[in-house]
Amino acid sequence: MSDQLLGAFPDITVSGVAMIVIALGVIYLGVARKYEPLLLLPIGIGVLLANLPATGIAEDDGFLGLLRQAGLDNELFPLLMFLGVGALTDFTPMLQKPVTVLLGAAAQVGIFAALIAALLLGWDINNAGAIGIIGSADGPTTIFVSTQLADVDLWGPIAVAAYSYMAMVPLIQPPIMRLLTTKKERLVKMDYPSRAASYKARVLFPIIVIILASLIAPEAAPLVGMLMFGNLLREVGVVDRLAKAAQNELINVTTVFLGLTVGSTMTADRFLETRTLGIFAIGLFAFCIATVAGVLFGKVMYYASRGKINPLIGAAGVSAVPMAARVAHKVGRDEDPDTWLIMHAMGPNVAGVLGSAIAGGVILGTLL
Amino acid sequence: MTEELGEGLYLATVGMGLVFLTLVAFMLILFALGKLFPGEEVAEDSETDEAAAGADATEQAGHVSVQPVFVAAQQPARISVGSGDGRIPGAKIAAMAVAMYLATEQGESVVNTTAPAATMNQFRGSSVWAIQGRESLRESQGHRPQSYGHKSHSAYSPRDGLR
Repeated sequence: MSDQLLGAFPDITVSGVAMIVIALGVIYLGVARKYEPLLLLPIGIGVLLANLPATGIAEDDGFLGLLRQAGLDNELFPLLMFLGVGALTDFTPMLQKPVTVLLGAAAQVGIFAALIAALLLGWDINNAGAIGIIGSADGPTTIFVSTQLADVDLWGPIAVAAYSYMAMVPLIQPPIMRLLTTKKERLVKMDYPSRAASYKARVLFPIIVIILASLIAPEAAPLVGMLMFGNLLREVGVVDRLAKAAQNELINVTTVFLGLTVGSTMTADRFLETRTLGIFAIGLFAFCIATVAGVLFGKVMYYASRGKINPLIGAAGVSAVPMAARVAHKVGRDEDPDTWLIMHAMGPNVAGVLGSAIAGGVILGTLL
Repeated sequence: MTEELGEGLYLATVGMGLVFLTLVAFMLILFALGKLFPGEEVAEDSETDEAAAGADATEQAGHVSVQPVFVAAQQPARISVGSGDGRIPGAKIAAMAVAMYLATEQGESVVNTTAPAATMNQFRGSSVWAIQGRESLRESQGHRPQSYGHKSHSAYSPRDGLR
């Protein structure tokens, strides 16, 4: 009896304590610094529970283990989350200014640059693909791809790196944006579209995207399918209950389960390795390259449009929605308070979500 | 290593190519959808204000809920100014708004004269509608049970031996 009650104490190890400290650090980042608290808090608690000695919570028959098998091993949770993301995403700015879609494509360079960097650092190609997808700046896509490609001990670090850097977009992006643009470029005021997006266009667009994306990159079909299904629920206007359920209950419940299960994969034996640091370094590199590519392509569009497109919105092509769009808007306003870029930046921002899902599908299709 | 690097470069090239190809296809589809199903004209004068409001709303949403991804952007204004297609002209809408505001103000002044002075003092600073709401709530709250064990809402007497 007493063995069971106090049996955990002899199992306390230095590495276990270190993981508990890391868990507390993740919780601190989420709660005190408000870095993606919706994800980092459940992840932190997952790490904490998985590293408490002698509990067996994260074992296959423990409750976190069962949750992991039910929703993470089979990629169910990221897909359910993408359904909610779709229901929350407004593609109207993209529909009104279709040319901004290209900026969402350019920012995906970060994914492939990080993949090459990971290969150069000695990772095998599957793990490199999973690490590269951090550059998508999209949580569900990152988890969806990494759980299929990477070793299980990399799932946690990849997810934590992705969400941490997404939260740090306001710190990472502005210096790069200022470095690559001139004051004249940052001061460009963009015209607003003269027409709103019609109902038919908003309803037809998700259906067309599902069909086309699935034909081009079949491995992206689950991600794109759920994303656009969620968006269809939102736009169609006759299933408000389902749309609201996807926007609230479904995504919130899935976020809790996803965070807990991802955190539970971060046990001491898997996480405390030098290569974990490598993942964080490559993740940062991926975000920087994605921003660089987006801004440079924005400059190309600036010149092609004869100064009508503000290159700052290119940085919003990384799909951290809406953070990246807000950063582009803020950097523009720092130059001139009368500059309003956010609605223009939302176009590349949501296009980036689509682009990263396609890129994830291409990587899966090639490497699986 | 070299073989895998070559594979990675191939993947990067093909991957970026496919991403661009797909999104260019989406862009063309969006242009086509815009031509086939054009949306309503956006009012010239309301554009900036609405965009600013949308920006503020998106910013606020971002502050309140820093979710993993998302927050819906606000749509730009869809206020019609044309009158030839049966829609109400903007000037008429403005006139109606002013008329409604004046009517409401007049109604409030009438209610002000009938409100009890004691109530006015008690809820100084509250609106007339709020005062009336509180009075109405107080009157409609019902009564507490007469005695212990008596349930005012029950159809049965508590002492009739049935319960």
